[in-house]
Amino acid sequence: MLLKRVAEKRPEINIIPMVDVVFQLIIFFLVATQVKKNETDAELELPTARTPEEIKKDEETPLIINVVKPEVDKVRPYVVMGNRFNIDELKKFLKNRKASLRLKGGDMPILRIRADKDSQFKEIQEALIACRDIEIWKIRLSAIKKKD
Amino acid sequence: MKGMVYRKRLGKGRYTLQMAPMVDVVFLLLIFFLVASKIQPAEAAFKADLPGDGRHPRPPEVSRLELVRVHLRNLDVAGETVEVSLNGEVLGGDPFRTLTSRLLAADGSNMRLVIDGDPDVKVTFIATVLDAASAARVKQVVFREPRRDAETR
Repeated sequence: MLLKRVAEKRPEINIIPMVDVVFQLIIFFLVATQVKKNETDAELELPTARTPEEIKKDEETPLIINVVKPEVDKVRPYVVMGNRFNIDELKKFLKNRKASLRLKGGDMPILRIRADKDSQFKEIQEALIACRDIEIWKIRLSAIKKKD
Repeated sequence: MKGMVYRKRLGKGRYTLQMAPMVDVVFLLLIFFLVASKIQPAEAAFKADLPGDGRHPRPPEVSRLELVRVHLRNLDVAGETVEVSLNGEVLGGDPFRTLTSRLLAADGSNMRLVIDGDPDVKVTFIATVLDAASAARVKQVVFREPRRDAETR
């Protein structure tokens, strides 16, 4: 008799809390993805070209410098991690972060510059000097690959 | 009668999951994010290096490469057209096409290309030069340092 009663109460998986948790996770990851995307989203239109190389996983940089066109911001054209900088502020920012940018072997990373197609050459040159000051020698200039 | 028995059993503490409203909500979310999201093209990048200076010398292998200088000069105030010169020679016709063919004809693997230009030259033209250099497999591309006010071109 006792065994029979136990067999009647079969264990069940309660789906509803699981669905709640799944939705919570989806919403969390959607919000988190948006935050990360902001780093490469600075109201700019990249130049197009035929032969830029794909960005490899091992060349992913911890720091991206966005350069907006003068019409957007002439005084503070550099956007790094959502903050706008002029060149002096950018240099100061990079110097402060130099230690944390170093890779495990002690080398400095490859830095990526995302410049608007209508931004000016001098702004890239100045940014490069700021990179050199913290011993970053290799850079990548972002572009959108043109389809033939 | 069999159906009745089944319903009775279901009513005893069991509950069913209403799938239809959940599917509705999932589809609504899906459509919302499809409409709200902006499809971004995959980003690629050009390699470029920085020139050394007294305080920060470059590694010695750089100096063994053949130096080629490309200069861009704005031809109008808006910066919509540029003059391209290669080692001081102004390129005619479609200057970027000429530049590409000149670089392709030379040995890019032994070349160090220095990009120089007016401060207000648009980056789109710099990208076009990088495109030509990349097509010609130029070994190293560097940007010239910005000119100071006292310097003249």
